Formats: sequence, structure tokens, C-alpha cells
Amino acid sequence: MSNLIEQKNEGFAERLNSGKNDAAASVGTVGIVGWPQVLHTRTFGGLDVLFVPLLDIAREMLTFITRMCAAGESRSQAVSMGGIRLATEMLKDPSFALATRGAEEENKYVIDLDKGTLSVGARLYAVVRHRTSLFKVVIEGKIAEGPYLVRNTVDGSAIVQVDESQMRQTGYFSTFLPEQCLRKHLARETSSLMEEGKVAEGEVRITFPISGEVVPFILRRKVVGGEWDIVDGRMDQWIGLLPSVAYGHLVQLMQGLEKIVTSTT
Amino acid sequence: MASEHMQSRREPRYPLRFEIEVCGIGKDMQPFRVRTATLDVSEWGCRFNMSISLEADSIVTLQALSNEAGGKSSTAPVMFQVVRVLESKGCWEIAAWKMGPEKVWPVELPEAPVDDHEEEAARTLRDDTDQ
Repeated sequence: MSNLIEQKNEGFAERLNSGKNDAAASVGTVGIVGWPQVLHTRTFGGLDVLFVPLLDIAREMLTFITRMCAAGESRSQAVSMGGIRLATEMLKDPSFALATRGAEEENKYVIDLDKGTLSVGARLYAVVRHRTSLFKVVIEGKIAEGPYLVRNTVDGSAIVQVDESQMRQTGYFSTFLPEQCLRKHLARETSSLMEEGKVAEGEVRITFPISGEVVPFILRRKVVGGEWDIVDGRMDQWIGLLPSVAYGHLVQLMQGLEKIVTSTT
Repeated sequence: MASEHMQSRREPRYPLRFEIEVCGIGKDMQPFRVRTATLDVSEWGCRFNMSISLEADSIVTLQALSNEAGGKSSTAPVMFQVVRVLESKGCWEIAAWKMGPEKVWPVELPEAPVDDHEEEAARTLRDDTDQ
């Protein structure tokens, strides 16, 4: 076989090292489609450490496969060699070893070099105001160009689409992405509650400081029943119903505003 | 399963010579494809000589090209992990271990003659270790 690697790129181990420093130990497996075993790590399986280096090395393997095919190799042989080279690169890092398939690990990466896809099943933890939310997600996309779709594994729904520049931000998977997932989840929760009440006949937005933080609130009146929902505008989260004693004041306020608007037009 | 077999290493070896094609990534990270022949085989492993050296733990695909009688064989390439590399008479003796349960040899091994010499050597080694 001819020389198919034109230049010596930074290896997988070096790439991985750059993300290791502040990362908490996290178990993970990397499966290559068609392989009887997986590459297992007890420490560097976390998304913030492994996802981007794996994406980069997998992308190099696609180039390698293309070159092998151009040099006359069959596609299946080129894909097989690409997988071997990928694993060889990864096994140079002592934190990776071959292991049997089947273990349900926290971070489960799957690389399909034939289809050119990378996916990972993972858990994301979002902590907002002492509330911890766990999301079981699958992040999947094309190795060559992205973008990457984050799906909820429970109902299969798409949560958010992520582009590569976002994923390359430090701590993206441990902080920003879980927060995005939580926002989406709360927005969906709120909209579902609104649907139940056949929203909305009126809406009042107010903002005032609470413990040094300026907090926006939205008050929405339901069509049926006339109750008012209170929504925390920071996360678009439904937080309760307005006490009925306040209804009269809000109705007065709306009538007053209506009078002003009609008299000026 | 492969790892469990690798732990025990109590398999009988058979002195069968099959022509094989070995493909993989060399120490220089370049792909290679080499035709050689087995020195002996077992259900999960084999030994063969190669003109190029490999790293221990590296991965190769191995395809049997002929059966014992020298006739053509059509088994699919199977993945092996290199477990031992020894310099031997100007070439490299490679011992490799199968990664999955696929059938690789074109014969049913229990019917093949066991390599007594290897078995004896293994027994001696085990006895020495036990003592």
C-alpha cells in the first residue's frame, strides 16, 4: 500500500491532553461500527474531554479513507483500515484499552466511518437555583461538516442543534449545553401548561429587583376560567397561579390601559 | 468474550499452516498488507512470521487464503490484536489474539492434530510458575 499520510498531524493523545486538566474522571466507551470490541476509558470519557478530539481524529480518518480509495483500495478495506488506524491512535493513550461490548457506560460514543457519522449517548446535568435536572441525550451528526443534533433519548425529540464552534468552547458540554436543554425543557413545560388552560386573553409583563437581581415576570390570563398564570421570565418557567384577590387589580389596570389607547387613536 | 479467553490461555494449539493475508497499520502509521502463513493456530489465536515489525496491542485484520491442503479458502477478514512480537531468524514472529467470535480458520480445529510440543512447553511453563 502506498504512503497515504502526507504529514504528521498532532496525535490523538496530544489533543486529548489539552482537555484533561480540569476534567472530572468520567467513564466512556468508543465503539467503531463493525468492530467486535470497544475502546474503553475509565477517566477521560467526559464530553468536554473526548468529544472534540474524537471528532477531529475521525475527520482525519475520513480523509485517510478517501485517499485509500483513490489509491485503488476497495471502500470496505479502506473503512476497515481507517478504523484500525483510529483505534491505534487512541490506544497510544494509556487511558484507553480494548474491552468487550455490552457495558452500559455513562458516555457511549459510536463512530461509523462508512456513513461518516459520530454519535454519543450521554447524561447532562443542569443545576439552576438548587434544582438539578438530568437529561439523557444523544448527540449525533456528520463527522465531516456537522451540525450536531441533541436529542432527548426518552421521547426522541430534538432539543437543540449545535454547531462545532460552540462545542469547542471550554466547558460547553458541562455548563452551556445542559442549560440550553433545561431552557428548552422548561419552555416546553410552560407551553404545555398554557395549552391546557387555553391561553391567553391578556398578558402583563413586570420586572422588579429581588435580592439584587432584576427578575422579569409574565402574568397571563387563561381564556377558560380567567385564572392568571405566573411565569418566571428568566427561564420562561411556569411557577404558579396568581392569587384571586389580585385579579380585580389586573382587570382595572387593563381597562385603564384600554381607555388610554382608545382615546389617543 | 475474547478477553476472557485471553486471560485463560489454555487453548490447544494446532500446527496448521494456512496462507493468510495480514492488513494493518505499521509503526510508521502507514497501512500495510502482507501475505504470510501461520506457524500454528488455536480457536482464538495464532502465530505467524512477518517481515515487518508490529507494536504489541496493535490491531490487524487477518484472512485465511488457503486451507490445510493448499486449496483456496473464502473466510472473511477477522480482527486480531497483537499480543507478542519476537525477533526470529531475520523476521518477526507475531502472536495475535482474535477480538470477536467469528470463525477464521477453514477447518474445524478439534479435528486437527494438537501441537504436542506447544502443549508440553505450556505445561512446563505452568508448572514452573506454580512452583
